[in-house]
Amino acid sequence: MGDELQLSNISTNELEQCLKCTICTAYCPVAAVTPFYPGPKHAGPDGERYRIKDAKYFDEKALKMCLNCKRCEVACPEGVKIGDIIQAARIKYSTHRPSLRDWTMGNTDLVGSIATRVAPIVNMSLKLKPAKAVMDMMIGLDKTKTMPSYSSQRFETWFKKHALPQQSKYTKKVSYFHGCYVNYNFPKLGQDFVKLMNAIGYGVSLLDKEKCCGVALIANGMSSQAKRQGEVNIKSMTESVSKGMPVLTTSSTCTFTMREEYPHLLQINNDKVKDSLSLATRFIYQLVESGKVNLVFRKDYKKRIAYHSACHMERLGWIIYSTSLLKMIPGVDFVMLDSMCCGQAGTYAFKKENHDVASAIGSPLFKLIEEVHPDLVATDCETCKWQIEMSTSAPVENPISILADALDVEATKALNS
Amino acid sequence: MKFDTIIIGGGLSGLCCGISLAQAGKKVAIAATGQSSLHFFSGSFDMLGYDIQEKEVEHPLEAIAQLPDSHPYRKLDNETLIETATAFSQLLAGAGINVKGSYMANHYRLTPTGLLEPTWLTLEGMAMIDSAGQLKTHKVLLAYPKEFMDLPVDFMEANLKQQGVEVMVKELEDQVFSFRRKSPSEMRATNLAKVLIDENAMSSFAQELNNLGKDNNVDTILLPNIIGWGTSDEFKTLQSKVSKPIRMVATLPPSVCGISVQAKLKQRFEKLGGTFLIGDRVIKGNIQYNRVTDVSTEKLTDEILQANEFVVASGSFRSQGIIANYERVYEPIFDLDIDYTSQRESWYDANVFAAQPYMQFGVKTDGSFRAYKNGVVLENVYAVGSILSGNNSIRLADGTGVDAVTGTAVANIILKK
Repeated sequence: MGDELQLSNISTNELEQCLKCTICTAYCPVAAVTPFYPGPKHAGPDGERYRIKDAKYFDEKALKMCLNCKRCEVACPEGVKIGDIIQAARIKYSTHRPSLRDWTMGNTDLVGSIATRVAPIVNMSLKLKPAKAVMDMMIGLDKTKTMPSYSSQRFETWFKKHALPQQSKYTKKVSYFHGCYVNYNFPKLGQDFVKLMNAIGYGVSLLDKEKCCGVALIANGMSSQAKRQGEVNIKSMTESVSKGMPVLTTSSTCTFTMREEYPHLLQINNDKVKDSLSLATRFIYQLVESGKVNLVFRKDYKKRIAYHSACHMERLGWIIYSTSLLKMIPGVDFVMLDSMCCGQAGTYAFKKENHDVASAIGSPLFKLIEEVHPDLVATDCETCKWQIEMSTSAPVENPISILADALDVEATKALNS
Repeated sequence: MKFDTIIIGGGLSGLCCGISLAQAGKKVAIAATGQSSLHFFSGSFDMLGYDIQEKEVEHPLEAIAQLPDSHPYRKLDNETLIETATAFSQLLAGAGINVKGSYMANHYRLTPTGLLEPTWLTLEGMAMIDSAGQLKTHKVLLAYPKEFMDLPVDFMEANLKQQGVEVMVKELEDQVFSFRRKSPSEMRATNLAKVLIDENAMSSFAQELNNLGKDNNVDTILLPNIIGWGTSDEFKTLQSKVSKPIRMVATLPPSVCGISVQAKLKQRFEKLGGTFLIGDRVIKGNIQYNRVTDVSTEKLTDEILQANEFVVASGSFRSQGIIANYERVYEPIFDLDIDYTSQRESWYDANVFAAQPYMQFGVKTDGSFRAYKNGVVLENVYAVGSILSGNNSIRLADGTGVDAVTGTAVANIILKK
C-alpha cells in the first residue's frame, strides 16, 4: 500500500479516535451534578475541533469546571485523552489572570512555608467563623469548608533533627519526595514512611531541592510557574537517580503530575527519572513480591478498612499495589469501595463557586462509606482525605500510615537487616 | 504478579468468564482498556434471533443445530449449551441481575423504534412479550420527559400503531428534570437516570405517572429506560409507587440498563476476590513453546503478569480487539490468526443493507476455543465473545448470547483442564 496513506492515528491526545459514544460523559462526576458543565465529550474532543479552527470557541467558564479527575479517560473505550485535551486547551487559550485566591491556593509551597511558622495563629483563624466569612467574601474561599490545618513543625525540620542521623547506616537508599501536604500539613505521613522504609532496610534521604509538584498551580491557571518548579524537581530527581536512589512519594496526585502531566501538559522531559519515580506502595509491593523484603504484622492489629480509589490513582492504574499490600495485613477486613470521585479535586472544592458541585459529587461516596461503616478509609490521595474526613464519620489514612501502624517493626527489621 | 487466569477485556464475555472462575476459587485478573459494549445494551440477551436464512427463530437450540460449523456455538454440543445457558442465568442471579426468559423458546423485546425482536433473556422491567399476537391486545401510554433526546418517539408510536396497539403519547412536564433542562444537551437517558436516584425526585416522578395513568384508560405505561442508575433496585421502587404496570424500552446509548449490568457484574467479580485492572491495556504477551507465559500492560510498566491460562475477550472492531487497516485484519496483542479473506474488496458489500462479510471476521479457534498463531494452536490462550470469528451478530441477533455462552463455557473448559 502506498506511503501516502495515513495508516494510524496521528492526532494529538488521540483526538481523532473519538467515536462520539458519550460514555465519558456518563462517567463524568461534574456533568452528573450540574447542567452548566457540558461534559468531557463536548468540552474535550467536540470543542477542540472548533478551537483548532478559531480560539474564540474556547469557553473559559465551562472548561474551568473540569476537575481534571481523568475518569473520562479511564472510561473511554477508544483511548482518547479527553482530560488532557481539556487541560491543554485551558493552558493554551485561557486569558484569565489568577486572582489572589487562586494565587494563594496554587502556591501551596510558599503559603505553606509562611503558615507553618505561625501555625497556631493560622490554624485558629482558619477555623474561626468570622475569618471564614471574610475569606469567603474577599477572596472566594468557601466558608463552609475548614481549610487543612498547618503543622507547627515542617516535615523537613523534623527529618533533619530526628531521622537524618540514623539514615547513614543503611546501604540501600531511596529519596523521598514528600510534597507540600506532608511538609506543611501532615508530617506524620512522612514519619510513617521513614519508619516503614527503615524497618525494611532502606535509608531515606530528601531531594537536594524539592518544589511543589505544581498540580495546584496548573489547576489555578499558573502553568508557567508550574513548569519552572517542575524543572527544579526533575533536576533534583535526576541527581538522585544517577546516584542509584529511586524517588518515592506518598501522594498519588504528585506522582501522577510528575510522571504524566509534566511531559504532556508542561512539556518537561522526565524520561531520565520516570521509571525510577514511584509511589511508595508500588515500590514496597514489588520488593515483597520478588521476595527481597518480608513484612511482619502485629497480631493485635484488627481493623475494617475500606479502600477509596482516588481519581489519579485509578488513572495511574496502580490501585492494585496499595490494595494488595493492605490485603497482606492479616487483621484487616478489606472492603473495596465502588470507585467514585469525592469531589475535592485538590483545591477545587475550597472555591466558593464550586461548593454545590463539589458536595453533590461526593455525596454518593459519603453515603456508601457510612453504610460500609469501616474503622478506617484508606486512600492514596491527601485531598480525598480532607474531603472524606470533613464529610463522613470515618477517619482516613494513607496506606503507608496503615502499614506502618500494623507493622511489627522489630520482627520486620530482624528479617530485613 | 501471578494469577491462575488473566482475562483481557472487561465486558460481558470477560466478566462471565472471570466470575465463573472466581466462583470456583481461582485467582483471576481482568484487564479492561475502557468501558465495554454493554454500554450499547438493549436490555435483552439474545441467544439466536434469526437463522442463517434470516428467518425468525422460535426455538434457539433447534436453530443452533442447523448453523454452519464455523459458528462459535457449534463448538459446544447440545448438552453443554444447555448447561452453559443455565449457568449464565445463575451467574446473573448471583450478581443481582433479574431476568425473564428461557433458552427453550424465544420471546420478544420491544425496540426503541417500536418493533419486536426475538430474544432469550430480558431484564426485569424492560418491555417484553411472549408472542407477537399478544401485542395488539394492549392499550399503552407512552410517556417520556419533555425534550428527551434519546428515544425516537414518532417511530415508536407509528410502528406500535401499525401493529394494532392502542397508543397514547404524553410528554412529562415533571419539575424534577427542570434543572437538567437548563442545558439543551442534557436531556439524555444517563443524566435523567442520575436524577431519579434521589427518593424525592422518584416520588414526584411517580406522582406524575399516577396522574397520567388515572386520567387515561391504559393497561401499561411505557417509559424510556431512564431508571436504574443507582445501586438499589430503583425500578421496583418506582413500580411500588405507581398503580399501573410500567415497562421500559431501551434508549439511544449509553444504555442505562447496560451500565447497571456492567457495574453489577464487576462488583460481583470483585466481591469474589477478582482483580479488575480498570483503564489499563494489555500491550504484549510473551510466547514460548506455543504457550503464553506472561503479559504486560500499559500502566503496570515494569510488571510481568503471569498466569496459567489467558483469555482474550477484547471485543471486535469497535473495542479494538481486532483492527483493520488498508492491508490486513489483525489482533494487536498476540497477533493471533484471524479468519478473514485476503482480498480487501471482499471484506464488504457495497450495499450497506446487505450482510457485511467483515462482521464474521475474528480470531480463529479450535474446538475448545483455543486461539491459533501462525497456524499452530496456543495451548493456554482462549478467545471468547465478539472477537471470535464465524457469526454476523447483527444478522443473527446472537451477539450477547455468544459473549455470555462462550465466556461461561471457556471458564468450564479451563476448570476441567
